[in-house]
Amino acid sequence: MTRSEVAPSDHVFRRVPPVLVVSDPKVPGGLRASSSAFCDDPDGSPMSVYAMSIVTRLGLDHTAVVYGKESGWGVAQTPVELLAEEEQQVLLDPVVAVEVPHPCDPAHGIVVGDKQPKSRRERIARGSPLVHIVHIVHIVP
Amino acid sequence: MTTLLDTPASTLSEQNIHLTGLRFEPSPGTRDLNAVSRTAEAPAADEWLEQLSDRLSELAQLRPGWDAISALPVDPTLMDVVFKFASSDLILNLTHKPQLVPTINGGLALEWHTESIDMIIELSPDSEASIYYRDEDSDEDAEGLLREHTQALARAIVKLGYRS
Repeated sequence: MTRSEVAPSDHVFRRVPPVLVVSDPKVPGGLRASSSAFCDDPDGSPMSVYAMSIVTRLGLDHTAVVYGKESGWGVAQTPVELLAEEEQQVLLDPVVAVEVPHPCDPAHGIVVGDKQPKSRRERIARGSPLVHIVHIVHIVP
Repeated sequence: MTTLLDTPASTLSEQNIHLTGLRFEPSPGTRDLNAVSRTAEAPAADEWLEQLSDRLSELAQLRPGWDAISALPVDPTLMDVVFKFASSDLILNLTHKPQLVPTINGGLALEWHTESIDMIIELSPDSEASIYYRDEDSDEDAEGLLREHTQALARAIVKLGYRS
């Protein structure tokens, strides 16, 4: 199956578990996702994201990305251009016919590329501001 | 061999830290990190230890798939290692304490993010401890196995002690 590439001008949303939100005085708001939030899955599957242009086309916004999630879950927004600079390719990979559908399934994509270097993941994390956090997050070091 | 976790910060020096994973052999140094770190006011040790225990308890409760996909729970053997390190004199005397973050492969990372320093020490259940370090002031960075970047670690520790 051939997957289409997400345009460089687009952005992607990444769900961030509460335990992966860290404080960093260098970023606006002082909170961001840890670089540990930008990894491929342990089984080797590429990192999942949602393409912003399609989320918008669905009549949704970034809050829909964490639909059904508990307090503390965040949404990081990453420019596709930044991912490309870090040698990552963003491909559309819509989720279809699943038992428990998610409102953003048609916007689902994968980020393919080497994410082993921590410096790379740090640059991606710092360039991916949190645009939404469900309720209130309490950070404990 | 003494463990890094048990050694007083006053015996560490910027020039003489020799690590193998999380173990090291202290030797007489030229810069007393303990003295350096005390130039800035550090948070109360009791407060930090309570925060540390609470955080590790929280992380110990993570279940498989805690990232809503397939993340592994934190390896229990790493909890003790991290507690000893994060409650050692070295860390207690730093102005900036680390943030504890799980990794999706069952590891644990200690992260420092300040105005000038980013440092991540990552412990994994199936590989050697690694480090990422970036100094915004000097535009210096380092990445790799912890034992191969002890100078960067020492420089970061000094800066994390100096900063308020």
